[in-house]
Amino acid sequence: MESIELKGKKCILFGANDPLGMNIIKHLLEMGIEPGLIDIDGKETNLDLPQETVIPGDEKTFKRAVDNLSAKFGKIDFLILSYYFEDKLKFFIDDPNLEKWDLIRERWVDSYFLCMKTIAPHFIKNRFGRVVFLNTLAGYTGEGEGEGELIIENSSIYECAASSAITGMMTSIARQIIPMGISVNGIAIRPNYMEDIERINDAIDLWLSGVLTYSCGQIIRIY
Amino acid sequence: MKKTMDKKTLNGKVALVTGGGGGIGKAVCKKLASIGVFVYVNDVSDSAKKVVEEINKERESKMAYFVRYDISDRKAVEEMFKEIKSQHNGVDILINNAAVYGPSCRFYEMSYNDFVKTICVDLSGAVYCTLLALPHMIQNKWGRIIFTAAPMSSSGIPAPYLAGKAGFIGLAKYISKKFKDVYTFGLALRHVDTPLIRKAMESRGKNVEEAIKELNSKSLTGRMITPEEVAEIYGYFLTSLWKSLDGTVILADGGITYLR
Repeated sequence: MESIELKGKKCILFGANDPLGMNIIKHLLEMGIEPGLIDIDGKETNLDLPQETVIPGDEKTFKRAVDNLSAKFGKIDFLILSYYFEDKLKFFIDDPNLEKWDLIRERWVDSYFLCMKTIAPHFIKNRFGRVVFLNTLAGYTGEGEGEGELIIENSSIYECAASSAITGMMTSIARQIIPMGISVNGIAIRPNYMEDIERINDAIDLWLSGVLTYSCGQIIRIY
Repeated sequence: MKKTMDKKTLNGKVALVTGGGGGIGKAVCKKLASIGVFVYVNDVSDSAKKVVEEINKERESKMAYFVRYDISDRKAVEEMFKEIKSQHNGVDILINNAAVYGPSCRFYEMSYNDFVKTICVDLSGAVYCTLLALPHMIQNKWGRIIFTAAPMSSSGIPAPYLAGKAGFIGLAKYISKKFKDVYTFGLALRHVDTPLIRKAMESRGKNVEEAIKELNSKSLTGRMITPEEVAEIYGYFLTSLWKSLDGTVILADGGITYLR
């Protein structure tokens, strides 16, 4: 992949402070892309990079974070949505806790929506933007991660529902926004994704590079 | 390998149908009652009460019950399951059918409140009902969950609606894989000839018959699917030996996808 094309571009990364997010930051920097980080309040990284925090379910904090980073960079070119993978919750059949679903929906599905909603005006204004939705394969496979294991009894039903919901939401958003010159596509990864880091980076490069801006709401599955 | 079932075993089973007050939900409730299933008809409107009255009159026995609860409210769903449990042991058949379309605007013009309202009916409601229905199904080693889904390929569909409908795919697959005695199945429908769709056309100032004709022309079959057909498909899944379909969501859009 040609790194020249991406050099100097500005990218917001939602969800930086986990192994995957940190890897993406490293990769973006290697590619000459300037990352601006957005994390859920209390999960800030200690990196010396532009950084904002948000409160799940609070639209104002998302808008403030995106606006602040946009003002700092002058322009945003890319958005990468990368959820916090350690937050997935197990489902116990003798304790079907409904609140757990509300939590994962708000932190994951809603946060992706709010990031998209608040960044869209910036992209539309510039008639340019590329978005990568990082998601898990759970929505396809029905195998929720559940505390880091691939398949365990009663693993996360929440993750499976949220993961496929994100796929649907991304499809809708991608179709609505592609006429404005903004491409939205995705990458679905497996629980032990650290073994696939190189392939994940390649997929990110592909979606950001613009080679495939004709694609709309497509997902590269890495497993 | 999962066990298969015989038609007769549905007699006396208990079903919960969300959004049972009209359209697909109503047709499914009637179908289920006709094959001996006790049906809890859930809706937030009084229309479900009428469906219950119709069924009980037609069957000449108390086969249907009205459960007026808002499924987007988890406490209300918990109350609903308590009520069902107080009369029957639990839910054997769950039809996750209730949905709202949400505002027809672009995602960046949609208020977060509207997003949440929509996804909470369309997905959270199904998740709540599924989570509360599962323990009984697992304990009894028998359960069926059906999802009224939507095609992922649809254009112009609001983000929270499509998110909700797509969420069913993960739910269906998860349950299918994890719980060997619980079968899941989904039907992804595009245009269904319901009073609701006709009303929506009217409210948009359209000539209903012309609008229906236009929708029909988009389908390779030249028509929309009817709620009664959907009910037959659900009935077939529930009563057949169709185990190989467990965990799948099937597209039923009259071939529209291939025209685009």
